[in-house]
Amino acid sequence: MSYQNGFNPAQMMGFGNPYAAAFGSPGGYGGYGSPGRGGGRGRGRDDRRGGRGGGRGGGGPRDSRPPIPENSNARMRKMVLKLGDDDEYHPVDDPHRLSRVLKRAWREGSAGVCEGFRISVTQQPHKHSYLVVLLLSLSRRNSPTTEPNEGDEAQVGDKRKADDSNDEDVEYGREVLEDLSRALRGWVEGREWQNVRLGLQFFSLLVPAGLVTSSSLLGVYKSLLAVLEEVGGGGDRAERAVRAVGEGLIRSGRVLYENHPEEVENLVSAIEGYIIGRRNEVKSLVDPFSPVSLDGQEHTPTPDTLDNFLSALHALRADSFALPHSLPRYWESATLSDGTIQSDPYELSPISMPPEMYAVDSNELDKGEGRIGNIKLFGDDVVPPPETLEGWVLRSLVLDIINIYEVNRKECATLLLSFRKFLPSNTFKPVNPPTEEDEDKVLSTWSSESLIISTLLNSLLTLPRSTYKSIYYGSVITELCKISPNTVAPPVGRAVRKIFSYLGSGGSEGALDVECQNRVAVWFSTHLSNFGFQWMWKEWIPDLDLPLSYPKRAFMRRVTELEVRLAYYDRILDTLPEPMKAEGAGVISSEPPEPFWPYEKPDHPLHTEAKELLQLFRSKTSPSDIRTHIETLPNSNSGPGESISEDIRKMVFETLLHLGSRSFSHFLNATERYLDLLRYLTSESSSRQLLLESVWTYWKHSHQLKLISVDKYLQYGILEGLDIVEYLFESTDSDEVEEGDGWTDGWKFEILKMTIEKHVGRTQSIKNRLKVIEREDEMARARRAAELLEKGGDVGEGTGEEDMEEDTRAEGSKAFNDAQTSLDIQSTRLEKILIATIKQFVTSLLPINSASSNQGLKGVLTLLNSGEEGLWSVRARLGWYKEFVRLWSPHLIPLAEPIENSVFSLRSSTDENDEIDRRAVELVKGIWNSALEL
Amino acid sequence: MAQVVTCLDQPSSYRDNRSEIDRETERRLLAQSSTLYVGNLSFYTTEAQMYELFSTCARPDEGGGIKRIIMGLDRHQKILPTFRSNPGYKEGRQFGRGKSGGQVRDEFRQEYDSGRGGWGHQRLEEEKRRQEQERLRSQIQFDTYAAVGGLGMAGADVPRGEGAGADRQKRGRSEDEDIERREDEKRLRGERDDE
Repeated sequence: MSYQNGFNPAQMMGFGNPYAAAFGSPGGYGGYGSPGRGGGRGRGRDDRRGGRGGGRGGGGPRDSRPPIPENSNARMRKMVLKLGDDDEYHPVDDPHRLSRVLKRAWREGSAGVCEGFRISVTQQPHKHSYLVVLLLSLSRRNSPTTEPNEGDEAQVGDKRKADDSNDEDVEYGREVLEDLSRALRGWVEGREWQNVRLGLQFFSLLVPAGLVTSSSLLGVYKSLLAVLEEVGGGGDRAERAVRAVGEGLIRSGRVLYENHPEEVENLVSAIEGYIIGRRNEVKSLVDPFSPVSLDGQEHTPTPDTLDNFLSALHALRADSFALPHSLPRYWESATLSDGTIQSDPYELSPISMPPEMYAVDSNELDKGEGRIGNIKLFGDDVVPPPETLEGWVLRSLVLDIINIYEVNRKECATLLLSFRKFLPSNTFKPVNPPTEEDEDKVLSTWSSESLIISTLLNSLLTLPRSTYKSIYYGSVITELCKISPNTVAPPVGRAVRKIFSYLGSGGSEGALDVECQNRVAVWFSTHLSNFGFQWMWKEWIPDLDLPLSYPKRAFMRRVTELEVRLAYYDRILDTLPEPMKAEGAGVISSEPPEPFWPYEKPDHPLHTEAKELLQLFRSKTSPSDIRTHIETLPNSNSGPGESISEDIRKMVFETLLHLGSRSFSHFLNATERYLDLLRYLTSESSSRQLLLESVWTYWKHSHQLKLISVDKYLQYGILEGLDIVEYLFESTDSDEVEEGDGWTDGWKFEILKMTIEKHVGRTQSIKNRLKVIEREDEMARARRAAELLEKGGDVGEGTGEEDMEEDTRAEGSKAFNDAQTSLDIQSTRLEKILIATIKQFVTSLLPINSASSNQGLKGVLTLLNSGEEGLWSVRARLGWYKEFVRLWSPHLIPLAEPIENSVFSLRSSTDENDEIDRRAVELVKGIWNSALEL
Repeated sequence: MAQVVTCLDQPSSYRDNRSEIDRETERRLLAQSSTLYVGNLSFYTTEAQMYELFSTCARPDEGGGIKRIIMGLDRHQKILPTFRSNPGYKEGRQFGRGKSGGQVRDEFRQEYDSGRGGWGHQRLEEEKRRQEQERLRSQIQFDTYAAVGGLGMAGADVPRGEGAGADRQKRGRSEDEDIERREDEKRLRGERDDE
């Protein structure tokens, strides 16, 4: 029994591939397109589009159009790209056949072959070994001493033989190699780090294959690692060089070590020095596990990506740099046939690193390329750990596929499920139960699906940010589950259970970071929404004994809350077992996310007034009339000229929310229509707090609508960021004290994050506008100068130009100055919000007036001192404080001075003898200090 | 990264026949547009649900976000609700319509989802399938996440699967839940673990 009755993945994926035949294209080359073909699945879609990116232009990709006839370059490029897609692919014979086809048509299509290699090397890393064999075949030619019609070419016709001998002087392999090494230099210059690494990985495989000299590859390694010698350490480029060279050593190390043992050792030492030499503070900020401890010594930092990498390199060195078993080495079987000779190995030229770049927003994506979270989700016998050589190699490959195929989650999922076919056969445990024949063999216990899920979830949980949007990783998991529910869903379930065990004091590693916890909840609720919201809630029933604010409890609440947002209350309630539905169980909100309008009740003191106002709103009475109406209400103020009373204001706010309660659009319409009224009623900071209070009351059962309301009030300029920061920290709803407040449940940080992001976004979009204006100004200046030159007035040329320049500058600067002014305003606002937030966090974690009492973090530590855990809401707040610092450190670091002065200088430990107080301060300050180290 | 795989973020092949702008202009406008059309929604889909899901695609720290959602029945035929975020549409176009004034459909949902109106157009068979689905639900709940490997909770009251699933019921608690243990299961079956 499986999902198959549900969605029939076979039906979904089974679009026939009418283009499969096209691949075995005209001149049929020795059965390369074998009859068993028809796999290639969605790849057919590529073909239908008529070779995107082929520079062939011509119309949009309308399906109705006849396919554009292919030219040789495109055809041969496609042959290279499709190498190995065939299910019955033979890793030695097929490249050999293809190379003969390519050689024959070399004159018309060599550019296509080179392009195919460039694309395949950087976009199909799982095929590297296949490409090596192809390149090896291309680099071989008939020995001049033997007759060309000998050897295994007997079936080839006379004409072709003649062609071959005519082209004897063409060095096919060399052309590809030259093109690729040019491309590699281009990638380095363009800082396309992923391409650089993948390119170098490929070149490194060519050394054991005998296609590239080991000394020249060593030269490339050394030239890249030279960046480590730079003053200042080389910045992000150092990490990129270390990654690329280290990956290269994994692939080429054995041969290199045989020829140049000392130099290889030196390279490893240089990499080691760089990785070990990094400061620990930087790592602690992105450590997914950071338990609160009394002495801070118990926790061994979680190794990060580079630590794992170094361990893998150590394992490599310990094994005399032998190639990992998980990397196929088909070239070893591609022996020279009689009568052929191998071209001389190619000499790579050294590559120099481009200078460090300081522009922050350039190539943001490739910065920190290849970093991934390190949360252990499976046993070592199921997913090889990333600190082992095999584990590292396999995870890197999966990660590369995930990153490269981001443009198409469906293709990504399909490829991930089939990528094991590109690896040596015993890499993963067999798909089918072992037969008797297998009994003698030692079979692998690794699960490719578990490795995929582990890599996807760890990508999602990368701190501070995942490479791509969170939704991408979840979408791939959804696709995987649709294609192969029976093999993918179980690892998904196990991973979630494992993560659940990390919540709270759970695992030996300690509590999982609260941001990771939240990302899992967001992903998991969306995931469940795609699969009927079915989950084994029952197994978490015993955890209901834990305190309500305990992270496991908070996680359950967060998941159900997010599920309700994607569906509706009753549906989610239905999925829970009885004990979790019970009154006070605290798994799902006790009420559906309905609005709460207290004036409905006839006994409410403002019942009549509210009803009347609602009627006026509904009849679209103008804002000014409403204003007059409110001001003339009895009890609206204590006297003429006095401000309107709080009760009336709240009543107006809540009634306006009621007017727009039906949907997001209703809310926007109501807000837009009565914008003036809202502005009038919220001119002071205190009345804006009142507005927030009204939102909190009206949407007491829906954190989502709190978020949406606040978001839009911010957008319309009714609220300011500072109002929200203040309200979030000041408000403690009486019923949530120690049983899951907005910080343990994550929604308060959600609102805070939205607020700060909105302000960051405002400054960012003005910055972008400034850039556009600058460019336009520059173009205008250039145009003027050109016009002037055309007029050819060489009389008084100098003065004329100066005049012009002044003119344009004045013209351009109007827009420029305006933008600059609003940038200054927005930047100041953002700075104020950031400082206010950090101040609020620090004050709530280290209450100033409570040096003796046990509030805040000190309370947590005092409890811990007596062997107890508790005050989970304070711990959650500490986690969010860390996330705040981590997320906005680029904006916070320039504010270090005011933050030191206005926040931390006020809260140094008051009593030197108070060990616990000192530790509390140390914890909070430590997080800030690690940000400063970045 | 588009040479080995089709990018999914290409504009739809749909074209508004009544639109007077030429293709080139249309393409240029589409490239700049921040409006997204989502079709084939259930009658019961709410704006808040759309907001929740599509917020995850926005870039608020670059000034993005959901500005507006336009959802409503077709003005004439009252067929399917549509969705848009961000301005940049023409009046009247909020009622999404295809070539025949109705809806353009380029993808079909294959799976049953009661939250999205069951099987869609196959109403006749719907009820029959719904019942089957209900039966499967409890099955799936068991199978999906627990079929292979430890439940992590010994003795939890797991919905009973039928037939083949039934022999995968109880199994021991294991410290390491990650071990694939189809083989082990057979040995463990029947052993209650009440620790």
